[in-house]
Amino acid sequence: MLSERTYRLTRLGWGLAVPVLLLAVVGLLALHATDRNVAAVEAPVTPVPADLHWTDAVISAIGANTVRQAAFFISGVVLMLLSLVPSYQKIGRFSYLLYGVLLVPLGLLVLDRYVDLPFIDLRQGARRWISLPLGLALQPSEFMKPVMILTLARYLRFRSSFRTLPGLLPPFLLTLVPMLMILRQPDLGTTLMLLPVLFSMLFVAGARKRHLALVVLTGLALLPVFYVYGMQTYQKQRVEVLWKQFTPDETWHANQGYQLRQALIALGTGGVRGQGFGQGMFIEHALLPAEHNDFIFAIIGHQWGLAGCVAVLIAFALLVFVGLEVALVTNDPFGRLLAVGVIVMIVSQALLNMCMNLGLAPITGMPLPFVSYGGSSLWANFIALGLLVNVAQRRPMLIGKPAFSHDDED
Amino acid sequence: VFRRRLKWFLVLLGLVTGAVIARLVDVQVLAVHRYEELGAQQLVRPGRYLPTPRGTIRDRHGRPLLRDEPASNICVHYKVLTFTDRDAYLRDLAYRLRRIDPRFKGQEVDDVVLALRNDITTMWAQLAEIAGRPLSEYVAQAEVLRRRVERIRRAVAPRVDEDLLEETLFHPVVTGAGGDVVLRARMELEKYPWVRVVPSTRRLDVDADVFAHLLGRTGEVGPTDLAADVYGADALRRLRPGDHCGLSGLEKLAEPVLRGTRGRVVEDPDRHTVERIEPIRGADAYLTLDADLQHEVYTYLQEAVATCADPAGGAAVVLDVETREVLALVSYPVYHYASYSDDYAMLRQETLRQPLLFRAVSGAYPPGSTCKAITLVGGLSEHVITPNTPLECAGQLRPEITDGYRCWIYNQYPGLTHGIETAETAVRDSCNIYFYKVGGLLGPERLCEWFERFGFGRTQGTGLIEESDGIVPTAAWLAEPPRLRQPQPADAWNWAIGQGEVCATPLQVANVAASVAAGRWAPVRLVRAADGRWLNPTDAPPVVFDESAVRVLRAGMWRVVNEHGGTGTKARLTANNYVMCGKTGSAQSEAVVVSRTYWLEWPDGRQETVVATTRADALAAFPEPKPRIVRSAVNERYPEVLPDQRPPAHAWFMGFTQRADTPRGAKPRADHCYAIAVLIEYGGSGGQVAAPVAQRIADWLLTHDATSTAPTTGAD
Repeated sequence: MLSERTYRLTRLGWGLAVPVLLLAVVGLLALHATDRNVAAVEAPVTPVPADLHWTDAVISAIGANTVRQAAFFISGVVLMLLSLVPSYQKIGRFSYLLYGVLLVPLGLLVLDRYVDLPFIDLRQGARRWISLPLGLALQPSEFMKPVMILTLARYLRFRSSFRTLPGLLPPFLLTLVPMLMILRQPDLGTTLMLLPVLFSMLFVAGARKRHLALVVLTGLALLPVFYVYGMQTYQKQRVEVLWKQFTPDETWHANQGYQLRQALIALGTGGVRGQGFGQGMFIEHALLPAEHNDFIFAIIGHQWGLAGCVAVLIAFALLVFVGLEVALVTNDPFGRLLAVGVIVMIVSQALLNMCMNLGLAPITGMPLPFVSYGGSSLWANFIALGLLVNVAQRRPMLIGKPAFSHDDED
Repeated sequence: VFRRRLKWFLVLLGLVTGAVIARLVDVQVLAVHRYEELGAQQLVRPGRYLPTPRGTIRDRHGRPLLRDEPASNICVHYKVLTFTDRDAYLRDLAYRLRRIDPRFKGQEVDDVVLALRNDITTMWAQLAEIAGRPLSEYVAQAEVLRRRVERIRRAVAPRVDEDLLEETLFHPVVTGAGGDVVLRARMELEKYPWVRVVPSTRRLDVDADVFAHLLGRTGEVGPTDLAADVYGADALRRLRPGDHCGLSGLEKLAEPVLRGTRGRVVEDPDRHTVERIEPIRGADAYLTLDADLQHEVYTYLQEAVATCADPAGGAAVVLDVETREVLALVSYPVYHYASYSDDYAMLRQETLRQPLLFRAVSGAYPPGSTCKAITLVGGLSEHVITPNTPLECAGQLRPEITDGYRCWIYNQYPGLTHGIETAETAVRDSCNIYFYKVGGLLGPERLCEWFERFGFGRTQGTGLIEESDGIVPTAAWLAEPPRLRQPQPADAWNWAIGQGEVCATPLQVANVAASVAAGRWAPVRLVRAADGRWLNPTDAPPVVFDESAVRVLRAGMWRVVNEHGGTGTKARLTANNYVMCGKTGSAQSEAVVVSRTYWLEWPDGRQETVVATTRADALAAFPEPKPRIVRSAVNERYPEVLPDQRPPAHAWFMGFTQRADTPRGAKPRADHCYAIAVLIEYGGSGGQVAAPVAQRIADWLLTHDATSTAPTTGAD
């Protein structure tokens, strides 16, 4: 038994490890470059006590955010390895349970709007984090993403009811419940993120194209209504960025369009080859808001230019190809849906984040997977990745019995 | 099925990726220059502005009246004005001071912070003592500054985590300090790291007091000034919140010329200068006034008012007839220019003397008999009379109306009348009955038209915001609330002798005199730029009068002053080569309400009476909740008269000078032809009180030759 488990762990596969490692390293380097705490140590005003604790010394040498992100990264890898141990099918049995359990913290976040709960704070006008001891804070909506994939895969795996229009209703309802709860936080980015996952899973599971097209068209038709009645002014302003970014009005660029303008300047001044690691005015003068999470792609482009951006794109492309190969090779419907769901989740986050950095999509709080700063997002992505690897490891799902295995074996 | 669907899926991903790559290439390769340019702008700090002095206001000979002089502002760091970040600021300061300041060497940071906090309190007390104003004034000023920065912070807060520039600056708490105050501030206050004495300018009155109303004031800009700024598009010349600009008088009128162009220093993050534009000082503005004449006229007015039984105020205006340049524009009393802001509350309370009223252009008075000049020109031009039409003065216009429409001579010497009058003699005698009749023949509408032709009811083109239109009681004006009535034939009788609703300013009356002398009405000229361009609007079209009608009036006005029995003989000149032609006026006046008694009632029913000048002043003394004003009544009037008596009339004189050899009634030659109007409030008789003032003014003018030196418009 032990030997078999060891065997599985060694089949992690370089095809997934290389791009994820590349992304994580690029992310940590960019994060280190933007870590202002490093500079603060050199400033003459704040004194450096002689008896500095070694942890503080490390933090001041590398940067607080970088240290924390590295810790998240290591713990994320551990989480991924842990999620490899039980077979994905065994995990799949707990899908609905996990789904139900996660709805509780999401519900608490909604409840906090009406009753002030001590462990939920209002940060930047949103209730997204649940405070834990040790100064940690988790974002339940991030963990909802892999759980959503598990639940949908579980629901869709042996069915064909979704090939009728009424049969599409249950999977949509399953998605809508957490979506609406996350929308109330409010977190538009994560809310919208669940839709491509649902659609792509339905699509590859074989739902009729005209049904899906009908739903998409209905959604598109309702979009203006949502824009007018369902969105706050600041959300509208972020959507308006899409067409207003070409305005010659400099006051708009200095106010509502400020973040996008700064991101584009950071990318543009990077040019083809970039300013170099730790170089460039955006590193020196902190000119880009949210430079360490949502807009880290612009910082990468600033330091390493078009080359760096394309390298990040290639890394994600590798993830997609390896992931899809996993989906193709396995012939277990659950595993296949799981693999597709995970890949779509990662790649759609990545593309949306890049589009938003480039002014091709509205600016919603959307991290770049494995690169942006943020523990919850990183852990959720590693758990999802673990599910993918889990499917890959249990690849030889032959119809017949595996060799040398017998039913009466004990 | 699955494989086919995966292909679709890959195509979709490929499309989005393609868009991302295309945009990346666009931004990082194709449009790279544009973003490099924008990037370069990122590094430039917002420019620091360099202040510029305002232009000097000078008289017609270039003598300065008001100019900017170097002064200093005592400024305090924003973090000391605010409370939110003060401790963090003091902590940083404490760390530094512990190393460099022997006073704090080796002390705990917390102790240093405590000491610094005490220092701030001491500093405010010292500042109040040095600058000589109560501490509360500086606390209020700090509050104003704090509010302004907080407003900016709210406007930009969503995108700035760091301190705003305004939050790291030293803000002026005392402005325009000079001499001893600056010296003491430097020695006693600048030792605090949060105090700086910064060079600036202040308005210095070289010779401003007798021009006080005309010069006006500068003050902090308001929203309307910002919106109406003529230099709104010029970043270096436009007004910015907190700036000072002209708010009244010439300071406002000549603002476009007087305002300088500020300089700018732009630095990169390493504080190297990227750009430096030097400030350009404001240009000078040249008045048409003669400073010496203004002083003389002020003295004459002061003396004339002092001799009155009920001294109040007065005004005098001198115009050059040919050019319509204003040579003197005097109001009495004036206020002290330099201490205006300190005295303001007190000046406002002086409802008796009203020192803030710019009487020469803002005061609208019934013009009295000076108006008869207009009535006569109107009657002759409209051919309702001829110069020789005999009209009889029987002392009363209508025998059946015994208490009104009487001639002044009949009032003063009951039984005496003027008998048969013709145009020239009626002017000389200022016969009310004659002009009642001419007014009656013209009717109210035509009379109003003639008032308007002579410039009543509109501004004379000084461009000053203080200038009043006066009143021409046209049918449309009478129809407005609260009057709501139709013109009646009897109105014309009253208006014809300058009584009733018709009102004019001393400037308007002076321009009537100039119009009579020149035979045409024209707008006046007041101030020009160094290049000779007029700064006051001079585009009002002139009105030309029928010379044959004006000739009769001029001859009449000559007889008023120079013929035995004329009403204005006290204006006869002592100079041999020149004569004065004029017209007196004694206009019925109303007493002004100096104070009122207010009956106040509190919510609990208690009552109290208070004597005050306005409702607001009556309530000012009481804390919230304010009592209710139940009733008010006049407490004191000025001048004090018995209920059945009238206060003394406003004394008027208007006239013009001409060479003695000018044929009687002919249009005078341009040289030494000056128009003069004098008004003494409650002076009584125009011929007795106002005419001598006009005579003194004319004598001074003709011996000193105010206009002989051409106005200086170049550098002095």
